[in-house]
Amino acid sequence: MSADTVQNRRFHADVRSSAWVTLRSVLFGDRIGLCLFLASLCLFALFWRTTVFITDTYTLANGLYSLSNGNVFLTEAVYGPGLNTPGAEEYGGSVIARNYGVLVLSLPFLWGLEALDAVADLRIALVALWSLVLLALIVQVGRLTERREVTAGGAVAVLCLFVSNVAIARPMDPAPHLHALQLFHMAVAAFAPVLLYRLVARLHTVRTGSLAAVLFVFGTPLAFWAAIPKRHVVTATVVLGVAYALYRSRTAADGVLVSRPLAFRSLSYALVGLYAWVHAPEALLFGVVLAVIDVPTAADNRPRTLVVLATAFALSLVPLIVTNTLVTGSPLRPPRLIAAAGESGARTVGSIATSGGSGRGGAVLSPPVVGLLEAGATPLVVLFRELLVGARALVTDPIDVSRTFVRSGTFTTSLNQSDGEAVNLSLLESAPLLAGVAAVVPVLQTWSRPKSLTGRTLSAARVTDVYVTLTAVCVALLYTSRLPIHAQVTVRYLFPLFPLGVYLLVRLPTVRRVLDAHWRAFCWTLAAGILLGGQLVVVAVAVGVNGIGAAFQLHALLSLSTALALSAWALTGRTERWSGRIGAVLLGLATSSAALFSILAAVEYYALGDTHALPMVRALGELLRLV
Amino acid sequence: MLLSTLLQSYVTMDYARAVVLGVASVVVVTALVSGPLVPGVSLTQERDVAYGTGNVTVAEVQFPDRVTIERASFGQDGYYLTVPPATVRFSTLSGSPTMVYRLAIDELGYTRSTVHFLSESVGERYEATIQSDSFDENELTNETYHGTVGVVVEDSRSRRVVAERAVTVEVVG
Repeated sequence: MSADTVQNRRFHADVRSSAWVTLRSVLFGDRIGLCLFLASLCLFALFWRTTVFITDTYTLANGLYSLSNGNVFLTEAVYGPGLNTPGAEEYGGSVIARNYGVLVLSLPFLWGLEALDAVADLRIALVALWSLVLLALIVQVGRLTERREVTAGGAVAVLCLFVSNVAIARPMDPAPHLHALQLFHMAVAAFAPVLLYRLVARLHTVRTGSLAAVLFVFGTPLAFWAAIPKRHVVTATVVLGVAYALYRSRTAADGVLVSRPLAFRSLSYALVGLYAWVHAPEALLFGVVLAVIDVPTAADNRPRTLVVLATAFALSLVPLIVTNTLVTGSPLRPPRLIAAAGESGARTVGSIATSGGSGRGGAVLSPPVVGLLEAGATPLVVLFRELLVGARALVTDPIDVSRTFVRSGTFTTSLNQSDGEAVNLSLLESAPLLAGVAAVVPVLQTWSRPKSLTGRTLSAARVTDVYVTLTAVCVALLYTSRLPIHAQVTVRYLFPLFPLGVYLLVRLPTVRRVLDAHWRAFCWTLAAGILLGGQLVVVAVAVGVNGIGAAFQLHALLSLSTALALSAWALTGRTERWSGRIGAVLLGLATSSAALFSILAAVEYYALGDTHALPMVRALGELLRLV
Repeated sequence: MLLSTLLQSYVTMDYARAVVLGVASVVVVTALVSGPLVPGVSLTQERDVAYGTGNVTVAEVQFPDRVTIERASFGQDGYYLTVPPATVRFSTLSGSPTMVYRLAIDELGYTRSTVHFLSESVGERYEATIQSDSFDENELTNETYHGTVGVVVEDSRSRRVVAERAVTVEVVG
């Protein structure tokens, strides 16, 4: 009898653990993926300031407040000065919010926070949650290393951190809707490095995958934006998810639960459809790029397959269509159109299409079909025009383009509107490691054009490369003509370029070989750059800088110098012996330079009234008084 | 039999697991104690809210001799105002009074002040600062300006100017 009981318990434990392993492999791939997720969450929470950073967050918070009370329209300005905050739009006499997908998906986080608030002091509860996530990370790392000392020592360290945080905790200003949005964005952002790891680990090795995730988390402003309720980190996660699904759709069935290539192919379209619920114009761009690359390169385009894809895409659009119907009364009209310029373009294009339609196809097609075609074609035409405008800006406004991509400095359009500080960095100043993409030059020099292109199917890796490259180019073109503008800090509109750039970087054989052979040199440089270089930067800012704009530009010049050195090395394409080690060190320096900016920006430059979620980070910010 | 199995599992439970479970329970229990389930316990320190109350007497204020407006560095255009700190000595300090350190440049129609929240933990001597500020190039025509720096305190008794002095504001670079 007792033996039976024991056996039953073991059986239940097995079922439980196998369900957990399934869930883990679906969400994170493997234990390393889970570790990356937990580590990213812990890191993002360090950067979390529990207040509003950009004013249109008021719109989202009020939107979530209204939604939690069952109203899609904004009803009450619980946050901010009023309902007409940036991002809110008037429609038919009511005010609507934006990014409804984000609002709906933040609801569970809101309920979770309300539940926590009911049983604990919210500040202590958040500190406890953070400590538990860190503890989970320690346990997973302990399992990975198979050493009990790691687990036990780490757990004691967590306890110390928890006690110190509680000792200096202050009460939190209640803003549950804002905090729910911030938690949702952090959770989504934490999946971005996991997806990059899973993709690169499948393409190459687990080590390369892990290093790619490290480059992404520390070498780009991901951690800075993770806790800020803007769509940018969501976009990054979506493009990486699409790239991963696209890759898996061209490799043999593998894994648990979701394994078939067709399932992954459908998933890539469904992700785009779901993203349309958050920001339709960008989703349109991703969808077009995906279709243009996926359909011609797929091995199987039978009608049955295409029907499956179309169904998956249509299903993923259901939330958007439901929201549109509730808000505007029309399933097709998104609450927010592409931009003022796009809207006017749409009107002209629409009128041209109508005259053309009545002239030729009108006799054959019934009017509703013409209307539907128009409704589908107009956004495409607008998108195409926007891309052309962007391409033209490359020629007509090279100085503005260089300010967006290379060197920011002081100029009127990028100044913070209130105080004239040059606080908007360029792409390269935000993520200097992207300069390593220059290693593509030696690759192209040795590249020989294949004899015939017909009858060749691209490999899964090549398809993913092409998708990533084209998406990066199109995202850049979509916004080039409008940038630089104020309040973007790290060219946040081009945020997808950070993960896509890191992917392309590790795909280059030069960089990969160096990371693989000299990963220790890279990691040590990164650690030294943050811990020792960080102190030097703090001293430099304290002594040589007396304003936030100058501090930002100091970081910009520091990053640019590491970018310059990195690109010079990357252009040589040499990886043997010392050149390889130098490459690893330069990658580490570029990564740490970006990390230092993110850390100091979150802790010090934009302390936002010392509202850091974790008391110890707040205390550090109060201790440092730099600008 | 069952009991012995259970006991055995406790004995063989590895110590790392025990530490992890122990830490996790401390964290969870602390969070629950902080909440409304256990009334009367507060783990968060409320910040002093009644600023500008209490009692403060200033014995001496040492102002800087020179205030500068320096050209900004690292590609930031324009100029930054730098006011060195003023050293304030208190003869009495209790409660939570406030102190304002301010600068006025009449020729530019410019004033800037920074509020300092005092408490007993401040001690006898305090370095008051003024937050830096930026100037446009075309705002500045002279090489020097006449400015006034001052310290104002507010406590339960009154709000009063305790020291004031003229300074030269130099434009550098």
